[in-house]
Amino acid sequence: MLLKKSEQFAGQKSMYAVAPLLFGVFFVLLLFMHRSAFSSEAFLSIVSHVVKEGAPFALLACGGSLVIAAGSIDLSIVGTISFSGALFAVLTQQGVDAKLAAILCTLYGSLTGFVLGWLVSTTKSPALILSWSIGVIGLLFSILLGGAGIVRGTPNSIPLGFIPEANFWDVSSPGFLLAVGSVVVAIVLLNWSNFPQFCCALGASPKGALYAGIDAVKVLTVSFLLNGMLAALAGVLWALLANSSVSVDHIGKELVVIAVSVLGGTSLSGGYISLWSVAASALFWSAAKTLVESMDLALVGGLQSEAATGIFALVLIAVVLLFSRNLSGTAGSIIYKQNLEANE
Amino acid sequence: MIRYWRALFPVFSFVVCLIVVFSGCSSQSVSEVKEKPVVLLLLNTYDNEFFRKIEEGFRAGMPPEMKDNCQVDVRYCSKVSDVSYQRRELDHYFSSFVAGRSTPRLKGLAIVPAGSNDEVTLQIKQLKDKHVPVVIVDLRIKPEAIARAHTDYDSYIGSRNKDGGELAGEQMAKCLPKGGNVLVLNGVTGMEASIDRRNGFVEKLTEIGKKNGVTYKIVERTGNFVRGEGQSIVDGLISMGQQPDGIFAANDEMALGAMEALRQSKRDKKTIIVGFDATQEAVKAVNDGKMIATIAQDPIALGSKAAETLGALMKGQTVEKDQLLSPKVVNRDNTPSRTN
Repeated sequence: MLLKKSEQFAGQKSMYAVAPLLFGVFFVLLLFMHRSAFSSEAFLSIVSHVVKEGAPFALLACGGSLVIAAGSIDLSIVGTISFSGALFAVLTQQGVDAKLAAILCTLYGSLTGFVLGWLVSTTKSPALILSWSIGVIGLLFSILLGGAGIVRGTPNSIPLGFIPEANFWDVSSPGFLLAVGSVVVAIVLLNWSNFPQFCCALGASPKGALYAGIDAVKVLTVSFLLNGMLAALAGVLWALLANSSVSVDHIGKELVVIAVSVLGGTSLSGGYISLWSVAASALFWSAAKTLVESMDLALVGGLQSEAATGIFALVLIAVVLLFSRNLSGTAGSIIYKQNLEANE
Repeated sequence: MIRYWRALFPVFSFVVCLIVVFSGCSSQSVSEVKEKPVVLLLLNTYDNEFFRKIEEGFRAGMPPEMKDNCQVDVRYCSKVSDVSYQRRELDHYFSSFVAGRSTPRLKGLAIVPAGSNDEVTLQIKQLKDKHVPVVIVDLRIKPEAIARAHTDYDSYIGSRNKDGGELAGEQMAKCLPKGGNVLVLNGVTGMEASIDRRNGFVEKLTEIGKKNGVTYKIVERTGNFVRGEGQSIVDGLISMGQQPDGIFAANDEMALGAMEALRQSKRDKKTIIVGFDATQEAVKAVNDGKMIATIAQDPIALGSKAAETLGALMKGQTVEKDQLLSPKVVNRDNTPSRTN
């Protein structure tokens, strides 16, 4: 009964309603859990943390979703994040203006994405292997950059050339504005350009896209280019938030990005995407993690760490089971409904 | 068929070129490389200064005959506790014994294992069966895991991690005499160093609390020895209005991450931090008053002792089975820059 009501509330009509709903629920739970619940201080501190934690994932998941919606996959993001972060740190240490350094890093990401996209789309090589290999090379270069002896720091950790400080609306965290701004601007521009729809068309039916006059090579190459650009921006953002570039920390984040994309309604088999929903999914991920990590688990003694990880996994299992029909890729989609109607 | 060969030809040429270029990069002559026996130093990640110091100590502490007659191969895992990498490397060196392709060159192994359970015990057994002396450094492999593999190592050189945890607990209690909320950032789950540091700290702090009639509420989270995770956890707790009064991190990387989270929220004056490992960056933070203390393990001494022990074993001498070095506290009163 409760399950049915929850499903109805989640909105059977759209698979993109799940992530915003989940984020809303967990955000309210966070407010309840805060020591000074529903105060402006609680609100601001939670917003600041959730955005800082979620924004880089939102950027990565938006880029990744474009590639997935176009029917491909890109695992090179780890290398792009690491190298762009390291490059940003090195450039700022050399006295380059932070804004210019950020632009140069995003250019690097775009170039990597373009090369990868061009290779995948023209040679029809398996994107999984090619992107993973390029990612490893990027990671290797970021470690070499740190160990070259030309900069302060270690191969893994390169401090920035300046100490980022920012005060905005009592949220004293560097990178907060960039985090919010980059996600919103990226999504608005992408939606305005209608490019996600081209990706969906290609992912849903390559043959249909061909008949509709869509250039598959161009669309796939541009989706990889955009993914590379957003990954580089996320790398800069992480470096800014941590006040240093830490390369090896990013290993494994590609799997979180794919999970966030799927929770946001992106179909793994291609063809469906909503960037706002994907961004909400990243924020939900961040809110759920914060909620679990702030729980008082002193009762379990030395197993608190394991208990927190286990609870987070249970939350995800519950979410996936509860909304499985909405998140199964094609369920709730136009084709699914058309098939359903045809069968009836 | 010919088409396939044509397609493969450029790939084949490229691989051959790569092999030629990289083999030409070696500074040693082929004959020199072939003749010299190898001593393998297998370490955890290169990005952690602690392990680079072990290498420094190892090279400095090598006995003259080992320095002259042996080639030292140093290998680092690409990420923290990369078990598969260590297994692969050990299997690669062992393969020369079984394949008979060349004269077995591995004459000694010093290893910081990627895990304290059965992760690399099989590989150690293989080498021990071929009479290669094995010295374990820093992270001890559990005796039951060693027993399960029906083997044994020759010597263990490490720090008393539990003593280090206790020292950290004393420092924390000294700074929080009235009790308070203490966050423990644990390392990789199941790793002996992580468990020992945590147990030493928690037991000591609880004991002091009972003795002085004050309460320390301990909250534990796992940061996996990674700076970013330490920062994320502390930032999350602050955002939920649960700023701890003290933080003990099982290594300096996580302590530095926690420090950054506190700095960004402008609440760094309210929380004291104690780290572990005494890396350069952490010692500077202690010197600047941003961290209260860090526990020094002296990795150079660990590396040097490992080289000495391995040298003795290779000469057939007997060595002590367990060689434990005592950690010490680095605080504002005795940081290297001040004492210098």
